[in-house]
Amino acid sequence: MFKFLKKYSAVIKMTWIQTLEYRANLYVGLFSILSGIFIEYLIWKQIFVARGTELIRGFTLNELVAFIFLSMIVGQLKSSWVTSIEMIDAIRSGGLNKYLIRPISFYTYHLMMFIGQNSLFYMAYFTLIAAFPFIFPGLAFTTNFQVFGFLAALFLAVYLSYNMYYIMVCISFWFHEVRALVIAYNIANIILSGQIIPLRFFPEMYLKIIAFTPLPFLVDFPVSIATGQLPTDMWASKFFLGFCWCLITWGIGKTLYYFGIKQYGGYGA
Amino acid sequence: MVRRYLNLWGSFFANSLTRDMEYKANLIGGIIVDIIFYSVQYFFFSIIYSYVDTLGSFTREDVMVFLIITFISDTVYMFLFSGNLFPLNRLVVQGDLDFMLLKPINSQFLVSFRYVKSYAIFSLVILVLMLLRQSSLHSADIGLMNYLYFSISFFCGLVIWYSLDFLIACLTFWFKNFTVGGWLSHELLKFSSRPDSIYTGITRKILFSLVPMALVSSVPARMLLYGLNVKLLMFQITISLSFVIMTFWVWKRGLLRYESASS
Amino acid sequence: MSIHIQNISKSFTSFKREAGLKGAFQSFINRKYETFHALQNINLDVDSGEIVGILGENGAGKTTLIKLMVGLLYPTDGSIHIDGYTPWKRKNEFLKQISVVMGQKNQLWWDIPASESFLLNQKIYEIPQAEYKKTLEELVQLLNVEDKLNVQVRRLSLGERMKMEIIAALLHKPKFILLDEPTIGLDVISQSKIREFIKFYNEEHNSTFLLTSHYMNDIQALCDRVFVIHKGHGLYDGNFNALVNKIKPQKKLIFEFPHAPAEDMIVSLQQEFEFNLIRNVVTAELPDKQLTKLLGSLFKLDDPVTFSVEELPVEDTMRTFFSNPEKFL
Repeated sequence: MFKFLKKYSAVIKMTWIQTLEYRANLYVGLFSILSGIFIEYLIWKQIFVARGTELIRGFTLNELVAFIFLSMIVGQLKSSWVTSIEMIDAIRSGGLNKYLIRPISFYTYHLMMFIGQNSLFYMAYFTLIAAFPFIFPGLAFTTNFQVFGFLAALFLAVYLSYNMYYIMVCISFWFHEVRALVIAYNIANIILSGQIIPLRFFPEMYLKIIAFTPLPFLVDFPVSIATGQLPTDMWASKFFLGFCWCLITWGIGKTLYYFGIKQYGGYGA
Repeated sequence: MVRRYLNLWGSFFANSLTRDMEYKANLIGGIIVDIIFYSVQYFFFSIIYSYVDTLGSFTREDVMVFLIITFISDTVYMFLFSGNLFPLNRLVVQGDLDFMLLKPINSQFLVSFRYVKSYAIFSLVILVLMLLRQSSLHSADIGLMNYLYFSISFFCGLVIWYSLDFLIACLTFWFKNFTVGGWLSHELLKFSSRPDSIYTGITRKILFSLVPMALVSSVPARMLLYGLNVKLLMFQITISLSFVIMTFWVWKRGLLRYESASS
Repeated sequence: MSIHIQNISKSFTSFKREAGLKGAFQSFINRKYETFHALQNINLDVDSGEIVGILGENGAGKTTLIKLMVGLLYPTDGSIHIDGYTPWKRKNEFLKQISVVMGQKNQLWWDIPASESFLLNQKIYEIPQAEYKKTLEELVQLLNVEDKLNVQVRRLSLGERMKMEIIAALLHKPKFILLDEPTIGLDVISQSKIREFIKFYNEEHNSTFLLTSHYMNDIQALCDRVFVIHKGHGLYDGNFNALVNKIKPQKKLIFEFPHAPAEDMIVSLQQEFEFNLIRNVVTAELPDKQLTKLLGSLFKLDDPVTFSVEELPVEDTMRTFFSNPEKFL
């Protein structure tokens, strides 16, 4: 176990060096979140004014903005599409060989790389989140319980999301243009998992459908915990369900990889 | 002169088409991504408008027209520039810009138009048909002149977007390894994909001048829906002209800084 | 085209950073810049129709010099005139008369046949149709790639791709051509084909060539004159063979006796000349004059079974040279 940690922490460290060089990424990432929440705020402010109500679906404007703000952060942290594209390219061009001939796992290596590349974002966003009780007093992280619940749920979301991307990556053993699928999924995910509009604002019909998918766990779950929208007595069952989704997606990914690697031509060498 | 450059662009297009035909999967993938992107935007607004009837002056049916216009400008942009401006960073870092500078034609033209995403033309045709249909369904009377003003305004919007994106891409001359250019301009573009009526106060002023994203899609939509607004159109033309001139200047300055990767 | 380079200097600033995470952090917070003098006070004149080789180690400044000459870089100091043009103004009339081929980079589109890229070049350089056709036919024939014109570039071999790059570069009949490592990575036969072509083209069109190459055989075959750059300074400008002679005037002698020669004779000869004797074979590396003398003495001892006099491999000679260029000049 210790050896395992040592090996893959080296991967994370390596990506830090890279990340620090590309500090512009951080600035743009922050800009993305801040400008995004600003636009959402403007839209919802108009809606609240036009309707003349205090509450929409149980949210006040401030609660809603806090909710969307957190959703955007979680949404950005969980999205590993860049890593996925690199993985697909490795499979398509023969770069996978590099992993096959070394005592290192394709799956774990890229998971660590993804986390490492995002580490600067984690630091920046956690600083933002730490300021949350002051920016939006009483709207999120009101108890320690919520803080730890959020962290656990965020971890689950990142891992689950990575597994889902991994499944798509493995499909590229059989099909050429999976890249488009990843990009399409990433775009669709922005709205479908509730990154810019909370899921409970969606039509009933849609909510019923996605209840059978892992989508609600990607963004809505951690944010609902942080903002106290999810009653504490439901946490256990939700966490259990999320954990099941992790297992299922992990299993599918492993199986696809197992069969895919037999298909693999080792092109290019 | 103009003919020569149009002719050259024709060659670029022919080359790109020859290449894109080779990769059919790419082509289909690109169209799928487009469709998903459009659907997501549509879905977003249909949720918003299930809670409200108008956003400022934009009613639900206005926003549908507006949406299609944002799609069209997005697609035209994709078609002409997306294959050229994002990769500028790579050209600079790897020193491949050299070849482009050694050609006896305007280098900014070559860099901006070299690769055409030829498949976008399919989406473009469909979107234009959709726009025609949507605007004929619209309750306001949209006359031929509206289309004319719209076209002028749309062209200016495109020029503005090109210029902004080009300016961002040019930052690579000053910051080596400026890989975030594409992302940054995408984030700026967000401002143009929401109707301008949501912006108020200082934000509105900025989006109409310094970072004129409101002029990209919202203003053309206004021309089409609400008819000519001379002051606005003149303003838009002035802004787009000044931005284009700025690109000429920045490109020149950038080249001065350009040092090939393998010095 | 004639080239007139006067007191050219070029320096770059780059930021430096130490290795590792610590270095990354430091440069994240505070970047340190340093100046690097790529070229200092270079002077060079080239006449129309010459082929001049530019020699130097990696990082000596060869590519910088080339880029200055075609106007890709602005000099820090000095002037360059090429038939009256200043390269970095990049006037279209100037650009239409020059061409650059870089062995490590390609300007042809990867995914389409070379012929399509040629057509694009025709438009860019505004080559009249008749002239374009004639030039293309001639080049294609000379380089023997008639059947490869309509094959996607990515399917061509490295040698074929290089030939296509050369065609693309010559379609507009440039008067000044810069070849940066044109034969890099090619096999020996392709290398010599490209050499032959360059020689022929130069004689036929009287165009000026500047050439850099790591293969000294390229230089020896093509360039009478070389310009050596070392650490950004011009170190030598003149005849290549004269340079080689200066570095290592020696030739190699192998002389085989039918029987082992008498030892006392050898010992006395060894006082005069430097050579080795293993069994009955004498080997020596000596300058021309001494070598002739030694050969005469050896013949006096006995008639050889075989003997030979060879030039030393120019590749080795130049390696010796670059290990410490100042020593030889």
